[in-house]
Amino acid sequence: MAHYTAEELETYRHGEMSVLGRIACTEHLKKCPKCAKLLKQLESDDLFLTTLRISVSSYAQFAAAQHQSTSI
Amino acid sequence: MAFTTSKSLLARVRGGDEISWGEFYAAYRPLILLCGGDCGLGEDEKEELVQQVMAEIFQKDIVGKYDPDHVPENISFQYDPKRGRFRHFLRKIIRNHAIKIYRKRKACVSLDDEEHPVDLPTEDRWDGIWETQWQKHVMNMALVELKNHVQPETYLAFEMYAIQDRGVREVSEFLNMSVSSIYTAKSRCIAALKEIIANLEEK
Repeated sequence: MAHYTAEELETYRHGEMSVLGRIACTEHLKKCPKCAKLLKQLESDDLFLTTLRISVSSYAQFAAAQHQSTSI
Repeated sequence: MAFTTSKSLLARVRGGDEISWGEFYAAYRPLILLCGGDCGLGEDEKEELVQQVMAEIFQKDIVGKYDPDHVPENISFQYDPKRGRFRHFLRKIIRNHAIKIYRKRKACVSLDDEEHPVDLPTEDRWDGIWETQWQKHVMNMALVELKNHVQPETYLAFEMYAIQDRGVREVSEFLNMSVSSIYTAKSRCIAALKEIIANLEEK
């Protein structure tokens, strides 16, 4: 059984796959634990990215506040 | 992935390397200030917290002697790994100095001063503050280090798509890269970041 790549699964989960491609991928995911696991991994990466964005945003706000206070 | 660049600051601190004030101050000042802010300290108190924590870590009488941003390079410290995990060591020092500042405040302000509460954060709340801020600190340090581990265009694609949260098509067109390449950049950077964080964090 051929497996989907991470990039293909990204297009699948972001709704960018063709209709026929999406149907085939959905069917495949029901039968293939390896691809289903990779899809789960991509979903868990979203949580990681959310934490990363919050961290970056927090430090950016901090830096802006510091810059503002030193320039006053 | 093999990491061939110089050791991270945290790895050098842990390893007992000599660390300069300037380098340490730039990296850890935000963490200390943000912890102070989350504890409810005022602006002056947060700055005092930074100075006291730094002075204790460097074990030198530097408060009031130098402009913190321009302390001579020869003012340095070496962490003794026998003291345990640096993360816990730093947490304890910040907490202790925050308590001292709170006590000082308590002696100065009236009990009904709502702007300056006199109650210290509970130990549980402090743990939550510390864990949140430490995580942000490590994430930001890892992101800086990521630039040394991936190609500039990979980093840029990751920054625009994953951090700035722009649409994949927009990033793809802007960088003249395929959508698939943007996803590859994201996967590659996440994998590298996780490895960097694992290396930054004390085992």
